Amino acid sequence: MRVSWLRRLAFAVVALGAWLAPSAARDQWRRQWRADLWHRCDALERAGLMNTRTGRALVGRAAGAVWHAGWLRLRGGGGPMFLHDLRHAARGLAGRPGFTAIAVVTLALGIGANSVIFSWIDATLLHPLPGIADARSLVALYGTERARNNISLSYPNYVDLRDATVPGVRSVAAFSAGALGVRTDDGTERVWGAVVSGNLFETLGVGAAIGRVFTPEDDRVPGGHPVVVLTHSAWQRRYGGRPDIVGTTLVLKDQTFTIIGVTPPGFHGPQALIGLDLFIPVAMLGTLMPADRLTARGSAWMSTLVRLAPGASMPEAQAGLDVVARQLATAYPDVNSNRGMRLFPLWRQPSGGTAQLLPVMAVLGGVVAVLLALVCANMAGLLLARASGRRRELAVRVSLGASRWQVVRLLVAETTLLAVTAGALAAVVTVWSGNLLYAFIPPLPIPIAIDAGLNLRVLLFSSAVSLAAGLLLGLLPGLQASRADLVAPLKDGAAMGGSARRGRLRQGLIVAQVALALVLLVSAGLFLRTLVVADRVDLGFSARQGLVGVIDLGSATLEPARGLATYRTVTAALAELPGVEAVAVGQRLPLTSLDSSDRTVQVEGYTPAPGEEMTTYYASIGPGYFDALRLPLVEGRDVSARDAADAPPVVIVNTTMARRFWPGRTAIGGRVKIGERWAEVIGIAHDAKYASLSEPATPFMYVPIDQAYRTSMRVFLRTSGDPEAIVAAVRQTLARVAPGVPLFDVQTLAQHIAFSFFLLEMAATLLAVFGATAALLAALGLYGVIAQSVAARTREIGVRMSLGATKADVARLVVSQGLGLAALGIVLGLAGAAGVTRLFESQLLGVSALDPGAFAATTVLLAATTLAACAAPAWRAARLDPVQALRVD
Amino acid sequence: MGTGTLSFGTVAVLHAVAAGYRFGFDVVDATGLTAGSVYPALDRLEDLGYLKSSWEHAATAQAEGRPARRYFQLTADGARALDEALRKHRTFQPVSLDAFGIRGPRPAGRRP
Repeated sequence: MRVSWLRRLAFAVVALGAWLAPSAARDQWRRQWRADLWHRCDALERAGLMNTRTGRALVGRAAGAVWHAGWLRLRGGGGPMFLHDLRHAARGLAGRPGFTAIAVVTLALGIGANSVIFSWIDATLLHPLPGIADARSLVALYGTERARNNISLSYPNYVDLRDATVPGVRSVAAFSAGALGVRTDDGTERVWGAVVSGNLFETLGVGAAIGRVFTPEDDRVPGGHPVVVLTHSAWQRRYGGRPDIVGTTLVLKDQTFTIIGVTPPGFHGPQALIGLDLFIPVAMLGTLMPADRLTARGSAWMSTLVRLAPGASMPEAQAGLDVVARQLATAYPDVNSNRGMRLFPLWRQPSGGTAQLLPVMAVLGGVVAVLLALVCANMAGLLLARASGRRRELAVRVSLGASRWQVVRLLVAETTLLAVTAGALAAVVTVWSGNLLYAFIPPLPIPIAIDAGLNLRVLLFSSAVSLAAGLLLGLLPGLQASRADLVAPLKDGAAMGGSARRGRLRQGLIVAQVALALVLLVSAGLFLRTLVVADRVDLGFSARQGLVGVIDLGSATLEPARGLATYRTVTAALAELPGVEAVAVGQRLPLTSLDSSDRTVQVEGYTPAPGEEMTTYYASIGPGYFDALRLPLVEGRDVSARDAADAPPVVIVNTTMARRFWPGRTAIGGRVKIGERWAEVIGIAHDAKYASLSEPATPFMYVPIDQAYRTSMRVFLRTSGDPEAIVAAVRQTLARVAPGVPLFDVQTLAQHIAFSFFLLEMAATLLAVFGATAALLAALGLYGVIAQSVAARTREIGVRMSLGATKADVARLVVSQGLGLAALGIVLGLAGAAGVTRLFESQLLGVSALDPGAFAATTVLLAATTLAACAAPAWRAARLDPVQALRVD
Repeated sequence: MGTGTLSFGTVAVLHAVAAGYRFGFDVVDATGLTAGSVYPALDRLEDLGYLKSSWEHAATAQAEGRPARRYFQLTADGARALDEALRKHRTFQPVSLDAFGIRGPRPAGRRP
């Protein structure tokens, strides 16, 4: 925020606080505070010390002014008076338990939905890395190219950046998370760990609960630091929290590591939303996989976090990083030219869990805000109706000398009490809702760590929402009631004086509720349509009757020839199993956002435009991969045993890559330079969805495993029957032909793709629930208005009936009044929805933001609901006995 | 009224005014307390008769183109109350930090 705005804000806070100060002391209070603020601003400006920090402190002081004013009021007797109001309000509400219960539950719905979604947003976006120090000065760094901003860093680039002095940057840490196998007495256990730079813990500001964490000294000599740090949860889970853990060892691949420390509880690692078990220095990478990644400047695989220098802003640090990026581009033009570096706040990272959650959470946040607005409109209608009934009581108060302010205060006390009670109820719901988020997440091989639920921030948020709702709800009807003609109601039996305006206000509130409900329903309809459409999205591969698991050969097979032989033995043995139609190994599973590797490529005969991005994702695959995934090869041949390590390098590209680099001709026979070697294109594979359902067509290439060896691969099986039925047989076979080779993360392909759908499903489910709630509330509100109107018009209806109106005429009269309001609401709601749904069109895979089906279906649904709401009062009106009705005064 | 009713923060405010910090903001700076506790404390101390507040001369302030400020002064009652309170509040006396390897002033002998 700009300084001048902060200064203005401070004075505005004082101006508002004056309202709270008791009138006797108000003038002195205001003069004192304004003068003190003025002199402080003057002194700061003269000293040249006026900046955002001192400006914020000024606003903090001004907040103290409000406190001071409140204190004066309490001391001056305003407090006891307000307490008196509260007691009075509590008695009044207790005397009408039905009204109170409906009001509290309705408000709790609105406030609770907001608290729950806020707690999710807080845990996933605002504080994605619990346990770190000063989260505000920690930001994420990504490599950029012309069209991409989510590129990881290569290790050599990271080291140059780490060792550079960059203004605004205190330190830069890097890590890469993934699955690892820990040797146990009975085999190998899967854990999630990260190789991390030695300065990671220092950068995050995370110390050790026991022992110590890494320092840069633990990350100097490649292969020279066999040490590991555990997270608190892994220590508890895997070691039962034994106190003598430091100094014991564990075996990863074949390397023995010494446990040197445990991080504090709550901290789950440097990767948002992922709960890790352990950390290893990057220098030890070579014991886990071929260590060429430590020296290959073109191989981007590390995530990077930047701790800003004290007081530095992100733009300052960004300017410094731009300089470093230019230096790197000049020094290593082959891989770094046209590459930049960009900082992102943690919640806006362009890749990883936060990137996927941000749009969904934004939609949900908007939805619950709309729901709260609707709840408030509904409550306002209820309170207006109640205020009509209380006009005589209020009029008596005024005639006995109560000021308008006192009447308003009484009503505000009542609504605040309602809202705070509702807020407390909402807090209970929020405590329980932390698990609700997990209920939406399908079983995953990745350990999800989201610490949602009630915490101080969520509590503050929901208190603020409750108080604001209470104040707003009390002020509006309060001001109206206190302004209305207060003498007329004293005359017994007088006609509803001033009720026309109130009636219009209530009708306006109904129209607003119907409109807001329709906006929510249309949004829900669009997401439901998207779910249906997404089921038909061309994934490129078939998930039916597929099984996938991870096999990890361990470092004993860092020697490629041995490992490749093992892969061949395993696939051959699994292919013999009854019910198995196809088997293959492959590095990568489509629709996986983790472990995506990319490489800068050159294509023979293709001159990139200046600045054109030439990195491509790739995966290492064994023969039969395309068959096992039912991912069609469009042209050419699959990789085979022929494509051995010493044979000429080959590559298979996808259709998007083929069209881009070999437009108008076949890609077969073309040559691509990957790393240092030229590979010949031998096949073209159908496009697939590689990371997410909504991604655009992405260039992708496949290299034979013999020429790009990995010690850990996924194994894919296509079965003729239920894939889960053969899991046991697969494990037995593996134990027989490759003893000691563990099989992890076994799941059906259908289970795997369920993950890609879960955010959509969550959004659709929650929106449907919120939309239905909204429609119900709007209908109840409409029912209330119509029923009251029927009661007020009883005599008129009696006259009409005695003049010959039929029951049908009367019913029509009532229904048409209700439908008129509903129709206006629907028209406004349609217009509103047309504007709002565009905001989340990117989340609707292939469904238009103005999808006629969704708009029409939800409109019909809401119209039917409102019709039902009018039916009961209409029926009651039609059954009125005209003689009785005429007697009603 | 005895100083038994003065909270630690209130004594800090009284002490700051006695030490020559006369305006609300200065007292906030001097005590490190929040404005929300300092201003009520100043009012309360004035009610108790330990402080008296006055407004700067309006004409002088206007001539200098600035708003007049409210400032506080210690009264004789206030001085007595402060003296008594400081004797009661023994928290801030020199302590030995030898155990932490910090060489500070030697602790003075305990007051009687």
